[in-house]
Amino acid sequence: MEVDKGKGEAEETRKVAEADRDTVTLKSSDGKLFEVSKEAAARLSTVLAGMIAGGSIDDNGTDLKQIGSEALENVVDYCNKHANSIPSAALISSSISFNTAPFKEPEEWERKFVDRLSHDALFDLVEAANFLGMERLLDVTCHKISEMMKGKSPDQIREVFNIKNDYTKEELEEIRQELAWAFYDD
Amino acid sequence: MPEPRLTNEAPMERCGDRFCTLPDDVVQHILGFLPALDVVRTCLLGWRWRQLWRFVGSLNRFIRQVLLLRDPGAPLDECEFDLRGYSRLYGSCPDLWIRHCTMHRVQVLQVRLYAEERVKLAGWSLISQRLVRFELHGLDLEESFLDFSSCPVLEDLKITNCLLDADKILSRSLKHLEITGCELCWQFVPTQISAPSLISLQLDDHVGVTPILESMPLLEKASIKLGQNNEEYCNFCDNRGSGECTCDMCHIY
Repeated sequence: MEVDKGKGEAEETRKVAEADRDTVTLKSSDGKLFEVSKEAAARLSTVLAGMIAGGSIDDNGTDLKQIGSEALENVVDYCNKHANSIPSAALISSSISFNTAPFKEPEEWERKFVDRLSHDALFDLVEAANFLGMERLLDVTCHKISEMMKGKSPDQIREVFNIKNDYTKEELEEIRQELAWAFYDD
Repeated sequence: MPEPRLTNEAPMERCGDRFCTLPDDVVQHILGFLPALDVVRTCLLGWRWRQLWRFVGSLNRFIRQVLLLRDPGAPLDECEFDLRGYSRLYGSCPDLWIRHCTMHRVQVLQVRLYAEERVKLAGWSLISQRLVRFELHGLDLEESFLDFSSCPVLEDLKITNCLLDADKILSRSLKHLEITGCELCWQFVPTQISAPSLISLQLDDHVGVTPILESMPLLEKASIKLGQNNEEYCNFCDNRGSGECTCDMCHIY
């Protein structure tokens, strides 16, 4: 999806061309350019929708300084796959707001999409989805992480995610007592 | 060219734990997909996690699970819902939580919400043979909700930062009533407080129409202070008669 941008275009021509284009160009923190369908970007990301509506999309690549190229590539890949899949009505409605709409289980292609990601790539993608206001992608990636935690003991979760146990023995015991009802079968 | 990692404005120290670069609301969003017990147990992971589980999204599902996990036969003596830090509660159902608790014979019930918008409770009165102490914060209470005739042992009622939109606050058993920082409005007619067993009454810092108090023969201690923004707030009356009286209480009462 990486594109080389031609130089030397006249500013006016560029603006006209930009208005007519059906893609937008996004630039990662490390300067790589990616092109994504304008329609999909506006539908899936509240931040990009706002930028497109507000005319703050840059033809030379809209700077997304918070997002590295690997994560941005995944974002763009997700948008394109989403555009090509037949979106179910429920899926569209669940992308409106994760606060109110019930969560719709990931579809098969979404599951495959997150399953192939490395641990780091998955977390990078969560951050990117959060930054871009991509609620469905945030749901799907967060759901994947939750599956990696489900049914595991605190020790197992710490091991999987490299979480440092910074409690003392006494503190741990105190919490266990405070919330004894949650640990009755341990 | 080496590829830099995802960079924030202030790059996080790489600690190996990827959760440390995620903001709390995202971690809570992740926890929202877990079963209730798994969520609670994350408090053992480390200091950062100690309180995170308390503010997990999908609140209804979560609270319902926690409540349902209890032995349904066991009485729920005390129950406290303190949703501090939780500013968006659209679609949450404190009604259900409250009625679930009263069904399980709760004696002390505290519901404190801090959402940007007060959450409205259904306007029908509560029925509980056991409820002794009831605290409400950050709610929109209307119509018959404030009729506690069907809570015969209710003694303590504390309502703070709520909207009270009812013609009457009724309870024959109530001994201590505190209403602080509330907005009282009942179609511009004063709300009537009918609580003949009241021993202490505190009505502080309210806006809207000052309520009418019915006979309280046992009353020992009372404090009534109008809020500064109250239309009926009167410098004259509040300062024991120094200056000109600007209030028109006599027209309303």
